[in-house]
Amino acid sequence: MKKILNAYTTPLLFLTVSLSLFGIIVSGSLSIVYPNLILRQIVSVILGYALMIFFAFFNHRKLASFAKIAYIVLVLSLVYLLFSKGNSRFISIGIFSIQPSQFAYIVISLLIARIFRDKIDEEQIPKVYAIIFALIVLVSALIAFEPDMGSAAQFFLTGFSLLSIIGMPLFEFFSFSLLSLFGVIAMIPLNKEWHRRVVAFLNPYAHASDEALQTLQSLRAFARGGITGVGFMKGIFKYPSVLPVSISDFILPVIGEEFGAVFVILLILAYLGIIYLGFKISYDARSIFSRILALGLTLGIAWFAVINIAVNLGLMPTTGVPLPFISYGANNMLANFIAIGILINISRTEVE
Amino acid sequence: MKIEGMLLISLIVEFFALFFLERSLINFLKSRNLVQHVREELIESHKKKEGTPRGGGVIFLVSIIFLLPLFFVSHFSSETMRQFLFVSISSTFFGLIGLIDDVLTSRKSSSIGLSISQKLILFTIGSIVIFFFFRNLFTFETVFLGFHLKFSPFFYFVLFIVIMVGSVNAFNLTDGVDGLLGSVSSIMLLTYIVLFYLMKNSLIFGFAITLLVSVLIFLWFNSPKASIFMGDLGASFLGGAIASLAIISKTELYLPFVAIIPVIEAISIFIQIAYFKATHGKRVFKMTPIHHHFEILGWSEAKVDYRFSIITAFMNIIVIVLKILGL
Repeated sequence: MKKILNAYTTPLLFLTVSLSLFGIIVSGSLSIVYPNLILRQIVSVILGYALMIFFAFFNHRKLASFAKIAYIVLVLSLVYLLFSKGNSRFISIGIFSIQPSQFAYIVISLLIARIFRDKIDEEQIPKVYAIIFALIVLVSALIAFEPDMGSAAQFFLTGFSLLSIIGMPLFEFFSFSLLSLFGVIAMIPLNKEWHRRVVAFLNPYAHASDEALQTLQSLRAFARGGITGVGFMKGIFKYPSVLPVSISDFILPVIGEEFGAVFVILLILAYLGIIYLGFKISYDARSIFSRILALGLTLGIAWFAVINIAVNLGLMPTTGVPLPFISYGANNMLANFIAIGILINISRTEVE
Repeated sequence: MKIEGMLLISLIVEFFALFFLERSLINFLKSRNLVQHVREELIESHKKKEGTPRGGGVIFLVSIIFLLPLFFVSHFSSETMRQFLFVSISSTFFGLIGLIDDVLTSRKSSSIGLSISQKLILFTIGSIVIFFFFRNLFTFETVFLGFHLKFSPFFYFVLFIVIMVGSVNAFNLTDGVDGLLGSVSSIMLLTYIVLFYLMKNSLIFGFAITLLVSVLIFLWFNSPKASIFMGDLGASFLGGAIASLAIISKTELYLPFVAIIPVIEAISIFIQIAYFKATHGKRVFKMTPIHHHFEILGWSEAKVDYRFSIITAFMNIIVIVLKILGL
């Protein structure tokens, strides 16, 4: 099937394009507070479309040969970030600044797909899973040390859920889960910032002016919006003194306030649709490589959305991850559109 | 005074507790059939080692427990605590990777566990994570032969990984003759005991001493002819412990002299492979790691142990003298 529009890609394109257009509309409202935000948002969306179109026509099987190099480059760039001073999440190259943690889920999906593309001996299987688990832990630890707990959690959950779904034996599944649970619990007393956030999560009203401020304000924003919202451009929670980081990690309360619960539910349905289509593409793809790759990319987008929505609704300690296709932040936008482009290519070439 | 008394009591308790633990471990491992399977191409005298229990290195891990009473009688500064956490976590971590290898080897009832590249990947990942976890602990300068060397952070990071991964691998290679790695590494531990005594760092001093006691207990049962092997768990644990002690005591660059035998073993393999590839089939040594070469020449296992220990002791004395002179 060579046509770009088919039963999978038409709804996928419809959902992602309408989400990104909706993101531009929201950034128009935010432009009152942050001048020129809408222009930057439009530029990053257009760049995202360009990359999506490129990857929709680029044969995704050729990506397999880049998997290992991409992983090594990812690790080196994260190590570089830990040694550089100052703004430690971005590598600036000329006018661009690249945030490696946002592309990490694409790299690990590619690597896992590449490893399982070849037939593996029955005896080797526990070892292979152990090594891939260690590779996932390495990158998530490096991201967590930046410190960027949200992206680290997104990356770890993507890699681990991908490994579990593609057939990790039960013994390995339980021992690795136990190990990671132990690791996370051990991190809480050691990392002061994280410790405060967990304490604030457990008792938000005692920390209403500092750590739990964003969560409480976001809940108030949803409450003010009600079912149908206060109206476009009329929100007050987008002001940084009221709700910090309302352009990226906390954009959902702004939507909830101005457009109401209806739009928030529509958004969640849109994400569910994207996840469903991604799983369907993965299920119907012919080769193991494409199946695992499609599954990993879908899980990456899904975990971004799940963590962001859970944080905004106060279901998780505060960690910053962007809302896919909507939040301001060119790196995340580009990574997600690359993922969609690869998914489109898989559905074009691999699905009957 | 309190802390020395407590250390003495816990050392005596440790000696007897670990002695009986090790003895019951031999029977337990035999009953579970967790035994060594000998490499097929190995020399004839090693064939009789088939079936010796493997995993005696567990007592090195257990020895950390006997350090805990010290915390009841003394308050250590947070710097010392972090040094202790660094040493114990890094050696435990490498020991656990060795354990994976042990379990796989016994499961498959052959002599092949994780492949070399798989082990290297796991060790490298472990040392990167450990470096960044404890990065506030390291100062990027060291004294070597009187020169004050200052590294860039990235260069020190690379050096750290080379030291960690290299030492764990070299220790694994050295573990091949009854009693060799145990006797060699107990001499190295003595060196670090002296160095930490000079630095007046009582907690790490205690760590090295408790580890030394457990190595001695292990040697009791491992001396030729061995009734138990330490396994990858023990070798990796010792490698990680010695490397992290070197880093804490700021003698990173002296480590090749302290651990002279593991370094020679690693170099011998490197020379052998390089020469074999360059000349398409000629060998420098009869067999590598180099202790097998001497065994083929007719040395008994005890002789290999003695002579290698003497070389180690000599190099360690030189290092201690250099450090006392302040170089």
